[in-house]
Formats: sequence, structure tokens, C-alpha cells
Amino acid sequence: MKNTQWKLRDAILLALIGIIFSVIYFLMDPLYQIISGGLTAIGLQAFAGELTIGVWMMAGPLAAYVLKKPGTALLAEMIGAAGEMFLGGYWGVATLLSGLIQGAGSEIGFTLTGYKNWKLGLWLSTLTGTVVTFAWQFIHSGYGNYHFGMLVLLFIARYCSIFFFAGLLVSWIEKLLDRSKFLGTEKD
Amino acid sequence: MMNASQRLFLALLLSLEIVLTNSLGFNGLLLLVFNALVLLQRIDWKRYLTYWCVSIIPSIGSFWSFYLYAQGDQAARLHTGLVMGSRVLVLIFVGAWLVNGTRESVLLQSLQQNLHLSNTFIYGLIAALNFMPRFKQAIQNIQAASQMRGESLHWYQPTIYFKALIQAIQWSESLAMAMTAHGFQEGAKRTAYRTYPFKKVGFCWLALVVLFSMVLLRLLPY
Repeated sequence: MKNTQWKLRDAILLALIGIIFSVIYFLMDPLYQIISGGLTAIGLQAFAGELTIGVWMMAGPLAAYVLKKPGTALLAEMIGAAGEMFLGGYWGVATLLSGLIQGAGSEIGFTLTGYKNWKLGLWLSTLTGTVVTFAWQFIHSGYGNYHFGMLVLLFIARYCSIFFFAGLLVSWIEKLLDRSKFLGTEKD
Repeated sequence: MMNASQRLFLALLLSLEIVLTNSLGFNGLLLLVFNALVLLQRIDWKRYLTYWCVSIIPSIGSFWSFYLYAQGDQAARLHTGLVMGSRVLVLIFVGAWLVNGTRESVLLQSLQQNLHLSNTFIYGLIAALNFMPRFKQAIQNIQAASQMRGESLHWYQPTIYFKALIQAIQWSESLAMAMTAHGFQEGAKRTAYRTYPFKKVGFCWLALVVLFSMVLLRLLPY
């Protein structure tokens, strides 16, 4: 695909997608707090992050599918993260780092298909996204201190969440977009 | 002292350091310093208290989770818990310092000038940023419209994202057209009304802070 040139319209659309999701990410923060608070009571706060991470990874794959250009997933996720930080998200400056890691994780999935098969890329991106973000979480949140069994459970919880939100939900949105033929008309 | 890009670099460097080390003393010291910096920015009290309110639950949650489930004896778990809990607090206050001291558009423009990013890209971003408040309205409109048909849309349903995306596609087309109509040319050379050059003092500060933090990490192993 030689669809690598960025037009002004594409740049704005990418930014808008990032911004939509930055608002969603920001609104999700209190929900995360509630889940986290509930799980803290039983000492399983780590699972709050694992079960909800998928929501924070939706911007990348969706933008990649809409714009179909290399680098889109990474950029959309970073814009989403920056927006969340500026809106006053809880994680402060760490959001930027997470955005970079999450975006890169999703991006690798699409890179593996050579930016040709966007459907397959989506499913691959859920897997690469899980692996990359889990590795980051390992360093970032000191997961090395947990037992192996706990780590396996955390990994599975993370994959389920990413598979549902950044995989299934995104693919449903893509189906709606395909049915509406909205993306087909833009070829100039 | 530092321009917007340099502030961003400093915040990123420090957060990397916080994330990759396990020193309670270092975290505590940074928390004090950045609290002071945030207070010096003269934000109102309500906002300052909000930072504490939102950060306290994840911080305690993180502490408790590691205290209960981390490896090692009780002393080691207590240390891990305290490090992880304080990490959350520090990251939030570093973020608050960055956000309160820098406007988004200034940060974007200084990044563009300092790192020579594509103008099309940065102007697209700045243009899109102005739509931030309108998105709230747009989402409310979408929800109201579906209420009229007796359906309520929630954040976990694909339809609401689909409708927001359609809106975004339409807006991006109109906005690009409007910018072209106002004389914006893709890839054209532009001059800047305001420039945000890197400051030499800023680099000195960056180096100083990084060096100092390395020394501190040596001195404060716990």
C-alpha cells in the first residue's frame, strides 16, 4: 500500500480520533477508581488495571483501520494519552509513557502484516499489544515482585480485556463503518 | 528558564527515572519538590486538593496490593508497597506541574519548531484541539437523538463510537477545507509569529536535575 502520504484532512481526522478517545479515557478514570477501590478491599488492586486496560487501547487499532497508514496506531494512542493528561487524568505524566508503549504495542500487530491485511492486523495487534504492555507493566508497576501464578493470571486478565475492547468492540465499530460505506467514498 | 519542549523532556526523564528505580526516599523528595513547584504556580486550592483526592485511592490501592501479594518477607513487602504507592503520587504531581505551566498549543508549536515536525501535522492537531469542547456537545446530541427513538446509548456500545467517528470524518473534511480556504498550504514553508527556541539555561537545568537525581538515588538506597 502506498498510502503513506499525510494530507491535512488525515492529520485532522487522526487528531480528532485521538481527542475523542482522550475524552473517553478521561471519563473512564473515575470508573477505574471505583473498580480499583472495590478490588483494593480484597487486595487485588492490580487486576483493576488488567481488566480495564483494553478501553485505553481502543484509539490505536481503530485509527489504523480508518486511516490505513503506517504509524497511525502509535500516533493516535499518543494523542489520546496527551489529551487525557491535559484534561487532568489521574496518571499524570506517566500517561504519556503508557500511551507510547500501548501505541507501539498495537502498531506492531499491523506492522507484522506489512500494513496490508488490516483485519488480521487488528487481531495480531491485540496479541502484540498485550505482550508489549505487559512487559512495560512488569517494569513500571514492579510486577517482578509477584509470584509466577499471579503473573499468569494477570496476563490472562489483560489479554481478555484487550481482546474484548481493542479487538471485538473495535471490529464491531469497523463493521458498522464498512456497512455505512462511509470510508469507501473518500478515495479522491 | 526552560521552554515548553524542555519541560516535557524533563518530565519524561524524571518519570522514567521514577519508574525504573525503587527508592522510597527519592520518591518522597520528588513528591515534596513537585508539590512545592505546583503550589508556586499559584493554582487555586480546590484544584490542588483535587490532585490529592484523585491520587490517594490508586496510591493506597497500589500499596495494599503489593503489601499483600508481593514476594519476600514482611519488611521487603512493606518497602515495595510504599515505593509503588508513592510512585503513583509523584507521577501525578509531575504531570500536574507540566500541565499547569504549559498551554497545549504552545507545547505543540515549540515541539514543531524545536524538533522540526511536519507543519501539516501540528496545525492539524492544533485545529482539532479546538474541537475538544464541541465533542462533549456532539456526544450529548448523539445520545439525545437515540433517546428520541427510544434507545439509550452507552459507552460500551459500538454505535456511539461509530456515530462519533462519522462526525469526526465530517468535521475533519470541513476543517481541512476551511484551512485551505484561509491560505494554508500543505508542505509550504511557513514563518512563525512567535518562536520558542531551546534555551541553553534549560539544557543546563536538565543536565543538572538528571545528575543530581543520580546522586540522590545513590544516597537514598531505601
